[in-house]
Amino acid sequence: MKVLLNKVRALYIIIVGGFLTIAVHSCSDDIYNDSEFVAGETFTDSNIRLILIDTLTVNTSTMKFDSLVTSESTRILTGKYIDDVFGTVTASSYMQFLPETYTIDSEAVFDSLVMVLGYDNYYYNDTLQKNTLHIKKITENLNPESDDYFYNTSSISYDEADLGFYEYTPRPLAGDSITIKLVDDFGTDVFSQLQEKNIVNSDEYRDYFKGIGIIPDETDNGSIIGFSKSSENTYLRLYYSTDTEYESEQDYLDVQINAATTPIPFFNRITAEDPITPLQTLTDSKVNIASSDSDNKSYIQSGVGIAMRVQFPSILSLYDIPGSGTILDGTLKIKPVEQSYNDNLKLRDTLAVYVVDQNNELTETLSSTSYAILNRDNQEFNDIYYEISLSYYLEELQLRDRDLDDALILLPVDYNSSVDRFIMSGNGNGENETILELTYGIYDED
Amino acid sequence: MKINQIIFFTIAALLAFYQSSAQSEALTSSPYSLYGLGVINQTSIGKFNSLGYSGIGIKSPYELNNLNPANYALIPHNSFLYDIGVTGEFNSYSNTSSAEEKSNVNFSNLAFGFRIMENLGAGITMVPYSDVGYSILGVSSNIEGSTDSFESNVTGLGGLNDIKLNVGYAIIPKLRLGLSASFLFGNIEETESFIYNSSTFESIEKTNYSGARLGFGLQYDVNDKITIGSTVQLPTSLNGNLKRSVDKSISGIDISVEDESSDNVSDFKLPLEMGFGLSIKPIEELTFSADYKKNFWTDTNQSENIGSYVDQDIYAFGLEFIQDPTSYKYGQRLAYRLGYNYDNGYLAIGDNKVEGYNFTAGIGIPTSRGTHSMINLSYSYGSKGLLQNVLVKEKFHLVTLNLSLEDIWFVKKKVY
Repeated sequence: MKVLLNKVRALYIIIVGGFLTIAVHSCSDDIYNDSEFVAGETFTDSNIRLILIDTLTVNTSTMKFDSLVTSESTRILTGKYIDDVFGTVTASSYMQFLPETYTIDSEAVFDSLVMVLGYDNYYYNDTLQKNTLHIKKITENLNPESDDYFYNTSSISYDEADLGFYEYTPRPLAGDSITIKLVDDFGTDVFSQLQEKNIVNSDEYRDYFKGIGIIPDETDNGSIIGFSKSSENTYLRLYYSTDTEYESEQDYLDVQINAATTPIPFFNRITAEDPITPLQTLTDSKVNIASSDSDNKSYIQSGVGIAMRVQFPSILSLYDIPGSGTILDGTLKIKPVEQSYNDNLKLRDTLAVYVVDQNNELTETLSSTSYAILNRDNQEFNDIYYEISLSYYLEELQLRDRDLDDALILLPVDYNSSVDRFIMSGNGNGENETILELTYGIYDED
Repeated sequence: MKINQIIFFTIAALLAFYQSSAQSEALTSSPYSLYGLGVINQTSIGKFNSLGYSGIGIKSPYELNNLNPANYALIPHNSFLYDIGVTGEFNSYSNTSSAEEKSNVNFSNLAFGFRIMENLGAGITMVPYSDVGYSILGVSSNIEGSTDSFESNVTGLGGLNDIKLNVGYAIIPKLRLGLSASFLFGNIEETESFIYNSSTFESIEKTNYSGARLGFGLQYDVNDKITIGSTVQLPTSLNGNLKRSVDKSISGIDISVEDESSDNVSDFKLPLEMGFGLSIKPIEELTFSADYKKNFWTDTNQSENIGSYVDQDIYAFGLEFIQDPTSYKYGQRLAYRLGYNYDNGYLAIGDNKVEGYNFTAGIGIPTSRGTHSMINLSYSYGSKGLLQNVLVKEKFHLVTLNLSLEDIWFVKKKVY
């Protein structure tokens, strides 16, 4: 009997243990609930309601930065055109040069000094018009006035006399570079200073030759062209020849843009004179002109620092929606004003979005990945708009993690190295007005 | 010897309890478990699983009868009865366009019972009360204020357990009264998630339910051949306590919107349930049983977003054949069982009720002649739901294994 009982007990253990093992196994089976089965349409409803809200107030305005740092511009900008809205836009560039070496053979004879400007593919407005360049010699030390930077508003004095003069039809995409011959008086002087070892280092050279300015002609109305700052594409070249026993051997010395000194002795001066009246009121960066006061439009001009400003003053009204909810998506749609752009005054595919505080101090970029992206899906119907995905920014505003006085501003990505301008439909501009499409999810109705 | 068995039993029980708590997130994988507290568990204990879940009027001294507490009065002197059950389920679902199959294995019950004194027996059972385990994909909803829609996935997991204390007392040998007190507890976790544009959203709502319920039972032996019984389960309401976590990801940033925040949830009401049962032994080898139960769901005034709760009628029939339970021949001690159960459903969707039926069959295998221990194997085939646009038809095969054991306590075993 005892033996039998033991057998029975062993049987229990095996059976119970076996089934418990199966149960454990079934528990750990993750794909249990991984059903592909779709029940009937109305088998159940979602417990979550999504609401698309496009009626939240969007305040659009225009602001202008007092100045933009242009010592760090990625290109040389020069040219001039007259814009119906933004006025006369002029870009001129100032920079310092340093030679590769300070030795020239004492037997060498000066030939010529030329300036080579390599295109960097950037241009704005009409390149079929002729542009004129004046090369000027800077007469004061190329040092910033107050801090370590030059701005688009900085200026520097130069000799009225041209070191060089060049009239050309820009070919920024097809062309490689332009070559401007500088006056021989200047070339000879540089040559002899180096040859006679009056200048043997960069300090002496900079003291002697402070820099040059590239300035468009007063009468130009064409395009603004970008030239490269790299030493391979843009340089002064001093040609000279050395007589040997049989022939004359030509050689040259390159003089390159000085990018090594701090503060950087380089800047683009970019100005826009006589714009339309509303833009003239932008005298201080704290001033915002509401779109309603400027023809229901907002303006953007890089280089000069005019930016579209967008604010969401009534975001907290989301709390008026009954129930508990949360922002799931937010997209701002901004339409460029029709006829404000064309093949010369182009729209760009992306605009950068920055956050400013109530004093229009730039605090941060919206996010490293957020841009205003031009949606051209319905271009044939003239329905094109910039889209900005704003979910997280709106979340921060709603939760008061961010000051409600903060605003977004739109500027081209390379706003210190370009002169692109845009005119956007602001609020109050009928069906073209800027709207915020916000998707709000309600997960609890009470 | 005894002590060893007690130790073994305790370990097995602990393991099973551990299992059952882990299994409170059991997966019935029935889409119908979306509603209410989930699919209400029909499986019972021991042999009743193969008798079409009938048994209110069955007089069973050696097997625990969870259907009627009055039966506990019959537990013999010195007997300690216990029952461990495991179910294996194989389901197939279909609607008008697609079909899917699933299977799972679950703990089904743990029970024991013993005699307290002359005419008075008691026991505790632990059975799953309900199971939730569904996953519904592509629930499409309109985005208000637009012509777009979003598709979410809804899944549910969990279930309630029922720990029940049964006490049975025989006033006179023919008439037994019973009292049961249930403690129902468990949680149901519902998750809804979707992706909309570049945002993701997930809400997890975990509702803890708990409550107690009283029941009464009665059994009366009309004569040697006929026993009738009746049970009442009083209505009760289960207190719900909801914890919600909401997470989202917008602009590629993960954000916790709510983390285990509490919210009120309305109590879930269980109806008054009344049952009547009868068992007849036309010949000694054969027992026929029939039950009728009515659950008054309408009075609970509850509804789901697709339908409402309505009164439910359950009919159960069972037939058991044992040639001779005391025979020396093993084959003659085997029990053969058949049953049928029809349930017209408690959820009405439009005019349709989610009705279901089961055919059951089973065999009881005695383990030894010295005790009344049985290994009860039961098979059930059933169907639920209707094949219409809205509904899902569910067919299932259910195999239940119960170890229905008897231990003789307080008797010194003779060693042969």
